[in-house]
Amino acid sequence: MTVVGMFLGSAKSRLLPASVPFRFFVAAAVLHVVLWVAVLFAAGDFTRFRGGVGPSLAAVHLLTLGVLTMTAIGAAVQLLPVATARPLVAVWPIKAVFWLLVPGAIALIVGMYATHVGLMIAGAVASTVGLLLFAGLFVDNLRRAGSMPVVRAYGWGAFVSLVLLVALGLALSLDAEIGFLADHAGVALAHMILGSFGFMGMLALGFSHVLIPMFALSNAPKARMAQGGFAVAAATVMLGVTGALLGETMLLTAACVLGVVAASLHLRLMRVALATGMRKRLGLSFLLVRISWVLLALTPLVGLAALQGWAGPDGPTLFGLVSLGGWLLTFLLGILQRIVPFLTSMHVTRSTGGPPLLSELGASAPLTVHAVCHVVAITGLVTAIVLDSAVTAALAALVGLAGALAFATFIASILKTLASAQTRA
Amino acid sequence: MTNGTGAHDGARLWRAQDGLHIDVRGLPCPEPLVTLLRLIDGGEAGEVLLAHLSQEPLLLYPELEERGWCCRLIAASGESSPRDGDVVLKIVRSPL
Repeated sequence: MTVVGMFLGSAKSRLLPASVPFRFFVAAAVLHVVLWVAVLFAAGDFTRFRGGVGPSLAAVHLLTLGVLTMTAIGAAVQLLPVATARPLVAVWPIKAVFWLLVPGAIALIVGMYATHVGLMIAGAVASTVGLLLFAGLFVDNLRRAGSMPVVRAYGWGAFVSLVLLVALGLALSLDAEIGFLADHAGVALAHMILGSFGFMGMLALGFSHVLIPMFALSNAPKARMAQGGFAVAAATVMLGVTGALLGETMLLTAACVLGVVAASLHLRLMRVALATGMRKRLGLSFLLVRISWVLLALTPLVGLAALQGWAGPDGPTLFGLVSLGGWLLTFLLGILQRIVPFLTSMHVTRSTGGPPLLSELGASAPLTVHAVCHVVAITGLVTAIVLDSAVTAALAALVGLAGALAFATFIASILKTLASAQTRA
Repeated sequence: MTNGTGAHDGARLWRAQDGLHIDVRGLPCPEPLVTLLRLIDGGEAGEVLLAHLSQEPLLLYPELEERGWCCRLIAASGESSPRDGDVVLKIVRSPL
């Protein structure tokens, strides 16, 4: 092997086969469509949802375990090795994660929808094994990485949260059968906090330290403020989870206040990255990202209002929607539509020899339709909760469904590009 | 043969007979990408830029293509022995 070949062999190993990250993105896009269908069917009780098995809980898990987790895993397995300069230990475990997680998530969600405890437990066990396998791969890569201490710290935070999240999730599923938890609602809230802010939140905040400067072409955020941001974010999650498990409103209130500080620090870092970046026109994806940041800033405030009863009886439902559907879903869909063409360009070679231009990849009209529908749908759901209107929730779900179909069309156009490139090869 | 050294955003910069060299190894992601593009966009890269990197810069390729630059991986140049994964990328304004 030549020296060049040796270099290529070593470096290329960080670029996974396209089918590996894309299977997660396709699953996320499909489950995104199913999510809005589920919201449509759950519109009757969605606006007053406080937990408990049924269509609304199924819709929530379609969002979290379906769309958010699939997107996060697809992005993490490809971007983490590039960011840490350490390849994943092997590719087959990622495929195993997919084949455990997809059927597991479907079984769990169908079990929740149909109130079938056996299906829920089977789905929870398969999802748990899949997520723990992913956690193992993830933490192995973090352990071997020598650079980017802040991103690694967020990664460790996400890992610990994921382990606790799946443990509590499994306990909640088993509790539906044997009823051993003293405070099911408290554990469910801790599970929600770990999922939204621990696992997904830490991943979103951590990867933002790489992705946002990468897209804006700016320097990495200042280390000291980034470290401070991580410390406050981690403390927020710890306080929130402890408060939920102990049923202590005081701790939950403190978590919300600390959450305001954590969000402010993060948004300040992101604002500096955008302001100092070489690329000013960041396109539609960043419109979604900016909207998600507004909702990130609102999340702890809505949480505080819900805790103190200032947001009315539907405050907790509003908090769940703003954090999961508003901040995280909007952010991940914005990032996904940005990284999918980027990853595709690495796998596709034009007839002229180089990678295709990013502007050549994927249809842009569906993304515009999706962005408009997504914003209208989330706004509609907020209105539905405030007005306690099932009709408004159903209309919002229909608009969301149109947006999800448009997003799936975009992913399909990317797959077509990938498939034709592989046929040529 | 080297003539002139300097630093650019924490990267080592020097000019040799074969073009402008920049060593961005050890910089955290996405600093290598940003540093190289800043040189190119700022016009300091000239016609040929040789970038010493700690891994193949997968994220850089679409950016170079957008700017009408070409690149190819070449063997590491003499002065330092490459670590596992280190690459040297030759980036030129016109097609190779």
